[in-house]
Amino acid sequence: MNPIWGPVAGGFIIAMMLVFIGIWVWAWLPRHQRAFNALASLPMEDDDAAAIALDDKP
Amino acid sequence: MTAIETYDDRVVRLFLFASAVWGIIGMLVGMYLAAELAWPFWNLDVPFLAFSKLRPDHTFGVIFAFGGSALIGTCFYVVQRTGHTRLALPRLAEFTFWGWQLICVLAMVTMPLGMTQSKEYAEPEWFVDILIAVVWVSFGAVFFATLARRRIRHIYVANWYYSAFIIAVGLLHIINNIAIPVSMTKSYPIYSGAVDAMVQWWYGHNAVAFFLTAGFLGMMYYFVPRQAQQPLWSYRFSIVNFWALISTYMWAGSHHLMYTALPDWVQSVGMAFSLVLLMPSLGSAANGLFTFNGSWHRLKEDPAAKFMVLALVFYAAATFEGSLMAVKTVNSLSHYTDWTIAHVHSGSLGWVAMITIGSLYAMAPRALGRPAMYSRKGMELHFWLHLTGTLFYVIAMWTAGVIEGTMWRATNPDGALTHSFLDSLIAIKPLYMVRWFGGVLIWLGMWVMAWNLWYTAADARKPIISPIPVPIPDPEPRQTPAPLPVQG
Ligand code: HEM
Ligand code: HEM
Repeated sequence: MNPIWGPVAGGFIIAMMLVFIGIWVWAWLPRHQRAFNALASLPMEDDDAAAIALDDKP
Repeated sequence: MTAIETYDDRVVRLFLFASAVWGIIGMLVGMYLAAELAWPFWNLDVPFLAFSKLRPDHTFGVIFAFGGSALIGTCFYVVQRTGHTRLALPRLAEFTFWGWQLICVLAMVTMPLGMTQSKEYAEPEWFVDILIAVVWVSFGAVFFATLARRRIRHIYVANWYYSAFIIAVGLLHIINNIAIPVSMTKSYPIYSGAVDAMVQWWYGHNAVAFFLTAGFLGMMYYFVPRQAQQPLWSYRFSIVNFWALISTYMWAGSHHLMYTALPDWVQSVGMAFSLVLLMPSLGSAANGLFTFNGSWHRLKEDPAAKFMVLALVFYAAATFEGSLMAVKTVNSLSHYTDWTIAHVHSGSLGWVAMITIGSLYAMAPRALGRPAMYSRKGMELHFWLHLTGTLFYVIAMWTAGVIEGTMWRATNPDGALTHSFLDSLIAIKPLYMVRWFGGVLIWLGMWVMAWNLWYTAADARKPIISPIPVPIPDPEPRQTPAPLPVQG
């Protein structure tokens, strides 16, 4: 293999690591917190939770 | 405001029904195959009942017909609820349904007759493949058009997974199936040799990754918080896991080709990426399980929640096992043995089927206009049948796999093999019977679900369902973008 691939692969790995860390940082930015909290509760809207099945005793 | 917009669940109901039916058919074939392996006379000398001819009907039937119908149906359900909007392009959605069913029937009829490309999980011939591409694009169009008209600014994480599932599966399907037809029923792939093998397992592995994992994670990220009645444990963590998962999975395919003619470094890349996959896999499993924190008591009352929790446990177990099997030394023992089959079914019966069943139980009453499922006892019975059956299945196949692996590699001091292949078959025969029995329990469970859904659908059959209104907030002054007009 051409020796140039070594530094290219190394550079790419470092770039990907930075992107990975960047995503963590982005996700934990305080300004997203409100929106994320609202989103986390979104699925709970769709429910009349009380009953699970019709043969349950009330 | 007088006009009311409602969710469009018609196609959702059709997919729900189709999924239950295909589940029964696909698993019946699995049961039959298991019986053939235990008692070979079951091929009855009928050509299309031979194990090799019938096997693709099982894999296609459970993955694409059962799993696919459940995925598309829940996807249409979830994208409406998480975007506060009605399904876009309803006619195309209806086409997606009938198109997908036609594909499943065509594939399941032609494959046992011998019309096959002999590529695992991509067996159907070129005319079915073209149809799949068309229907898949229409599915994507409906999904993304609905997403585009959402009333909530952010795109909920489940939709990210569904998007990845749609885009990646379309890409994989088209690239892996490029072929030159030589007649109505026969075509040859444009790839050959090691390249063909690599393309095939890039496809095969990512079918696992984006069909059996990303798609069902979409289901999980919506239905688990809903059923736990708790917000998702960590929304931020789900974002990190999403990007880590989709950027890693694509590179792991070569772990299916260890010790083959593939260049050695390509095998090592597959192994390395498989180990990295531990993070997003266990991350999503943990996120789902921790979401139940504070509502573990619901497990006692709610069989749907039980299915989901067990699904997450199996997901963690199967992915952990997968990363282990991708280590070359472990693979040298496990490859070609029933250990792989155990891994496949702890993933598919444990994770895929359980999250599907749990989500169907969660979604069905809502989509069918009923306050709840018809029978909890039925759900409870299904849960225990499915869980016991799955445990019988995977424990038997793990044991069989290790027996095979160790018997095949044993050598005498003079270098000759200690055991013949036949010896190993005789040794595991009882375990094949146990696996068949597990399959029977699982299959009976599917009938219980079908019965339960049938009675839950009483109103739908009449048809007297009152559609569910979309919660539309009052428009703010000078809102940008302008609020969507009410539809439907
Ligand atoms: C991090 C996650 C995973 C990794 C690293 C992984 C790894 C592996 C490995 C190494 C094999 C064996 C290849 C061989 O020796 O032939 C395999 C086979 C398989 N796995 Fe996984 N696995 C993972 C998750 C899953 C999940 C969640 C499912 C599904 C529901 C699944 C379904 C399959 C299937 C269907 C095969 C058999 C392919 C075939 O030979 O036909 N895997 N996996
Ligand atoms: C009643 C339940 C089931 C039974 C009895 C069953 C049985 C079987 C049998 C006997 C095989 C062939 C194994 C071999 O070649 O040695 C098989 C393969 C397979 N099954 Fe199932 N199955 C069941 C459910 C499922 C489900 C629900 C899924 C997916 C969602 C699934 C996915 C697969 C896959 C991907 C393979 C191919 C594995 C490979 O090539 O490594 N099965 N099954």
